[in-house]
Parts: sequence; C-alpha cells; structure tokens
Amino acid sequence: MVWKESLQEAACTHSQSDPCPVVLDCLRSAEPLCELRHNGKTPWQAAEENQVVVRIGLGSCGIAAGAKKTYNYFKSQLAKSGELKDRVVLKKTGCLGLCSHEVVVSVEKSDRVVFFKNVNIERASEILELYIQGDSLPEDGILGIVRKDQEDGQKIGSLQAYLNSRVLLQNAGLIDPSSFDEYLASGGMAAFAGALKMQRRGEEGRMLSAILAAMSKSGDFCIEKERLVEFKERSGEKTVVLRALEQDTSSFTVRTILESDPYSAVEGLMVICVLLGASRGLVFLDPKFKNARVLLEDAVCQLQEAGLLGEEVLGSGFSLRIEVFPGLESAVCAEDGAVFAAVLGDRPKPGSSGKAQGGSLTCHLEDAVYAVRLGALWPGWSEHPFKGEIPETQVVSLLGRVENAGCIEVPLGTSLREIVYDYGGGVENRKVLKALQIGGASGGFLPARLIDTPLDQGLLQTLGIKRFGSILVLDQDCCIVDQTYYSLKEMSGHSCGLCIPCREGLFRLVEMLGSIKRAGQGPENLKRFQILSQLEKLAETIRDTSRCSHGSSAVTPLLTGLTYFKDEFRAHIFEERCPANQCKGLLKFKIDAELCTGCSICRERCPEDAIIGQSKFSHFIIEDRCTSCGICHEVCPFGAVSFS
Amino acid sequence: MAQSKTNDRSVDFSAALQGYPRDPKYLLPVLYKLQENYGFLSTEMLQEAARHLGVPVGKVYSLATFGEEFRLEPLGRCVIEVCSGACCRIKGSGGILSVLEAELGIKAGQTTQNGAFTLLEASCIDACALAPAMRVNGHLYGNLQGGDVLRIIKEYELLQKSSAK
Repeated sequence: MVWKESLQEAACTHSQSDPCPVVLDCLRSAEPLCELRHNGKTPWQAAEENQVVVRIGLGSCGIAAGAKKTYNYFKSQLAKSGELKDRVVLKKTGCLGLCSHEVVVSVEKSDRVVFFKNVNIERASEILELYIQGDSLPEDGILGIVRKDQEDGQKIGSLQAYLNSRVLLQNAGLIDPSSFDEYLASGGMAAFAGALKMQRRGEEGRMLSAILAAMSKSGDFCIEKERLVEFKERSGEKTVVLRALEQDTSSFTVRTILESDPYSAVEGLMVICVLLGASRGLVFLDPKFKNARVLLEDAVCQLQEAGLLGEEVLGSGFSLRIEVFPGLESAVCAEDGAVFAAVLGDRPKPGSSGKAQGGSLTCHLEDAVYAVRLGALWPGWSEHPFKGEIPETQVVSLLGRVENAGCIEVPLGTSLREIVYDYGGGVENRKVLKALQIGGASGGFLPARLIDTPLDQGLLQTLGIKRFGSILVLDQDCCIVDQTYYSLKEMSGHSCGLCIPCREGLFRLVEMLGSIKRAGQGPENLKRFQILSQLEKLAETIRDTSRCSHGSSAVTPLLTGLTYFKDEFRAHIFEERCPANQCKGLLKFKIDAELCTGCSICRERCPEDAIIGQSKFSHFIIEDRCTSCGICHEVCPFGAVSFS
Repeated sequence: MAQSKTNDRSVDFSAALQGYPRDPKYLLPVLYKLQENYGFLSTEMLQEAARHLGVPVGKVYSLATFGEEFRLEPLGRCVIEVCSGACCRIKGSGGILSVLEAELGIKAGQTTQNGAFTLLEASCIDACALAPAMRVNGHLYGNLQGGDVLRIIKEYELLQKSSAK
C-alpha cells in the first residue's frame, strides 16, 4: 500500500503543473502547502497494455438484480482459465445510479471502457467470449462507451458526457467503494489535506470563508450562517453530526452516494470537523442502510490505520474521531433537535432543544460531499473559494412510471422535460405523462403542462418544498387522489404525535380521502359533498399550525393536488368515478365468461363470498356483495376479471 | 436471520450488553444490538437495557416505540416484507399486499396465530428496478403478480411442513 510507505519530512515541491501524486506523503510533510490540484476525472487504471479490468456494480440495486451471480460467474470463469487469470482483473464497484440497467458491467480494455447493461450469466459469457477473449463487441446490451484519451468534445447525451458532468456522484460506479487506494487515486483526501494545512497554520479567517463556501450550496437550509459562525467560535468539545438520511421517503440518493463512495462521505465530515474545530464527527445513518454501514465502518478503520483519524492527526496536535451511528429513519429526524435527542438516547421530538445542541451541529450528506469536491479543486482552499467553476448540480432519484429509473445528477436549472425524457428515457410503455410528484411523500404535484419548468430554487418555492429528493413520474393510469391518499398515510404514520394538527389533522385527512376513494352509501353521501371544502380548509390549518416541518410539509401533495387536479377530486366526490381506474372502491368488477376456466382460485379467496360458480364452469360476481377489494382481479391467472 | 425467539425470563440478556458503558446515550445502539441478537425486544430486554444503562424503563420504552425500527413482538418463522415504497406502490404492490392479507388472514404488521408467517410493509427494499417486489426470509422476489404471490406462499408453507416432520 502506497500510503504506508514513508513518513518523509522533505518539503513538497509540487506545483499545479506538476501535481502531487500521493496526497498523503505530502500531507505528512510539514510545509509548504502542496499545490495539489486534481482534475477530478476518473482514473482509469488498467496499468499495462493488454490488461483488462472488469468492474461489476454491487450496490443494493445491483445485488437485487442479480449482480452477485454475475460476479461469481466471472470469478469462476477466470479461475478456470490460466490465460484469463493473468490478464483480467475483476473488481467490485458501487452503483452507477442507473437502476433500470442493472446489472452493469464495465470492461476496460485498451483505449476504451465499455459499459454493458442488464448482464445476466448468458450475457456475461457472451462478453467474456466475444469481447474479452476475442475483440468484437456484442451487438446489443451496450450502455455506452467511454474513450480514455478523449476528455472533451464528445457528443452531448452520451454516457461519457454524463459521467464527466457528475460532481457529487463523480466516483459512483467507477471505483471500488471499499478501497482506500482507489479513492486516493481518484483525487481523494485533497480537500482534507487543504483543510488540515489551514488548521496547522491557524488561518481562522480562511477556514471560515471556506466552510461558508462549502455550506452555502444552493437549496441548503440546515445551517444558517450565524449559527455556523457562532459554532465555529465556540470553545470546548464540539460534535458535527452528518445526517445520512434520505431527503424524502421515496428517494435513494443518499444510499447511492454512501454505497458507491463512502470515503467521500467520511472525508466530507472530516473536512467540516477540521474547518469548524470539532473533534468528533458522527454519521447519523439510516438503520436500513446495512451495506453502507459496513462500508462506512470499514472506511473509518482504514483512515484510522493511515493515521488520518484518531489522536494527533498526522502529528498536528488536532484529534478527530468519527463514529458511525445507526440512528432512526423517521421523517421527523429532518429536524435537528430530533437528531440530537436520538443521539443522546431520548425519544426524538421536533423542535426540542437537546442538551447537545450547543456543542453540536448537523450537516447534510450532500453538503459534506460538496465540500470535498470544492476542496479538491482548490488546493488549500485558495483565498476566495470561487464556486463558479464547479457546476452546481442536483442529485435526484427518478422513479415511477419511467423507462430508466435511477439516481442521476443533473446541472441545476435543467428542465424537468430533459430529466424525464433525456435522462429517464421517457414514460414507460410510451404512455402519456400526467404529473410529477417532486419530493416524495411530502412533495408537491406538478402537472405535465408545466414540464418545461427548470429544476431550481423557483421550483422549490412553487411547490412549497425545501429540497429535491425524488421525482416520481405518474402517467395517465395513475390517480392523483390515490397517490395523495398514500402520501398522506405515510406522513401520518410517521407523525411523532406531539402536536395536534399533525397527529389528528393528518389522520382525519387520510380518513376523508379514504372515504372518497370508495362508493358512498346512504347518509354518507351527504357528508361526502362537504369533503372538498373541508379538505382544503383542514390542510391549510395543518400547514399553518404544525409545530415542525413534518406536519406543514405533509399536506403539500394535497394542496398542490387541489390546485392542479381539482377535477379529479370532483370526479371522485360527486360522480363517484375514478378517471384513472385506480381507486378500486369505485370500480365494478366483472368476470369474463369466455376467459374464465372455472379454476375457482378467485372464489376461494373472495373475502365476501361474492363469487359463485361451479368448478370448471364460468364464475360470476354478485354485485350486491362485492366490496370491490380487487383481490379476484389480482389472483386470476387468466386475466378474466376486468373492471370498469 | 438466526435468532432465538424466547420469552424465557431465565435468558441472560446482559451478555449482549457487555461492552456498553453505563451511559444513557448508548440506548439506541443497545436496542439495535438486542434486536439484532434476539429478533425483537421483549419487556425483559427493555428492563435489562434500562438497568444496564441506568435510565428509567419508561424512557427505554418511549424510544423503542418510536418509528418503525423496533418490534416488540416475536416474528413468525417466515417473514414476508412487501415493499411499499413509491416505486413499488405505483406498480401495484397494494394489490399484492391485499392478496397476502386475504390469503394469510392477517393484516400488515401481524403474525399468523400458528406463528408461521409475519406480514410486514417495508418502506423500501432496494429493488426498485424489480417493482413490485417483496422479500421472504431474505429472498427477493420481483415483478410480482397476484398469482405469483400465492405460489410463493404455498412453497413456504410446504417447506415449513416438511421441516416440521
């Protein structure tokens, strides 16, 4: 391992034209500041000619799609053949972020890297035989080709252009997330080097401007400038809590970053700790992220071994500890007080001023990684860190009824049309786009006609949300009422119960929406007609009177839904009709006598005994008994149960 | 998931707690550790955690009942997690869940009387490309339809019967 070799005290002579090859060696030398400037481009490193590097994405999504099988196949095939074994290196990487294309395998050979998509064992053997052993590319299944020598000028929209445009995800899917050496080779630890040098020299002013630059990434709301300054000036033991939780319930951005590039996350926290003079960093991790936890803990161990963490970091007299702390997933943890409470072993309460609050500060994962990228471009964080040169980007999870779901990074200001159609490949099965729900369960709906809106601050304000997290694509077959119902149900379930508007109000909203999702009977119908005005009034009350942002943002889908899709609510309430045929309670189920074979699967499972018929003869649904639960439609193997 | 599901008072939980100092701030890690070892948190475990860390039992209980991380009841022999993330739901995981509920005669979050099946709604099981998906005892099943679910459940039922003999 390169970084363990020497502890030389020689002065560093590197310059921008002759950058430092190994950051750590330079870090260990006391002065002067190494003029390290990494270009941030991927270090393709098949060293010798003729060598082939095969990388397989083993993120959670990849594993779910069968990446382990593909990996084991390559492994066993390489072990069998002596010739291949010498020539081919097999590596694991994190997730490229393109879920729909998993399993992604990249093959680095001679001057290019070919990315293959959906690689099952069959494809894998094809790749091995045709491309690795032979030299011809298989015809289909290619995601993109990256040429190593060619850095600019490639055509827009190509995979290479996309990979080069990524900032926060720059290493995702390209390096081995468990290898410290690969992280260093990709320019890692440069930001930490810069921060540590400033700390050694005692340049308080520059440290402050650096942290302000790093933390003022657009859209940030976690830390106000005053609090940051006050925290920096505070003496005594300080803790920085890195909030490694998803922005919203349906996003998987944080998971992708952590699983693909855990070192960047840890380095980000280290940089922020150094700049703010905190001696303890805590990664407040979503307990669901089991793979990420292993990677993070491993990264912390490796950094400790390298002497970058612990007492007296690199002999600087500054000590720094990083702990990985599986916290709580609940959405209430978007509140600082709730995070501090959980860290201290209390039940999280929003707005509560935990004891640690004075000595603690939280920051978001994306800001921490941004700090690393900023610091890597500016060796030693030059006098006035100039942000303009790093393109401002936004990592979003694109999901729902879209061809290519995944976690993508786009420049800020990209229009939603580009995101859905260019990055996402359009709506699934060429259906018509109806709306986008931006920001998960607490996010707002945006109708298809506003799809040219750019993704920026203005959009956040329009929708009344705080950060982008996920973009859910809804096509014509999706029901806005149904989607609102489930969003509210989710938020209601996560309510901490401390304040009445959120606890009781959301519950009532769910109840009301539930009642318009099914046909009313008798006196219920009269109440039903009042619901439209009640929904709006109650939602506004909850928004204005909730104690924390959980409650006030939970009604966003309902309010935006009522703004843009009022007709759909009206159809549900007054006509008892679901225009998208999604709300089962409003549908009538019927068995097609021609298609029914009388297998009686549906009859046995009908909870209301509403299906009659003899075995091997066509069955019928008794309308009066049917509660429209839709189970018969789900279980019918012949598609004989239809609805209208 | 290897776990001994026991309500036996004589089991010594303190072994699992060794290495954690007597400090309230270790409450969350301790609860995770206990759940990892035993699969759920029994009243005895909560009491033991409270004694070990020197905090009131009420405080332990209030944290253990927050959110959806902790289970206070033992799991069934077969744990079915149906993904209810936005991606799966929009592709029909609601139907899958209602079929399972009808088939097993329980609601999401419950365990069947004979302790054979536990049905859970998971927030996201990381298989968005395979939506709708569910996980049964750690095995992932994707691109599901109502009929598939019935078949899978049958398989596990038979498996349990044969292993019982």
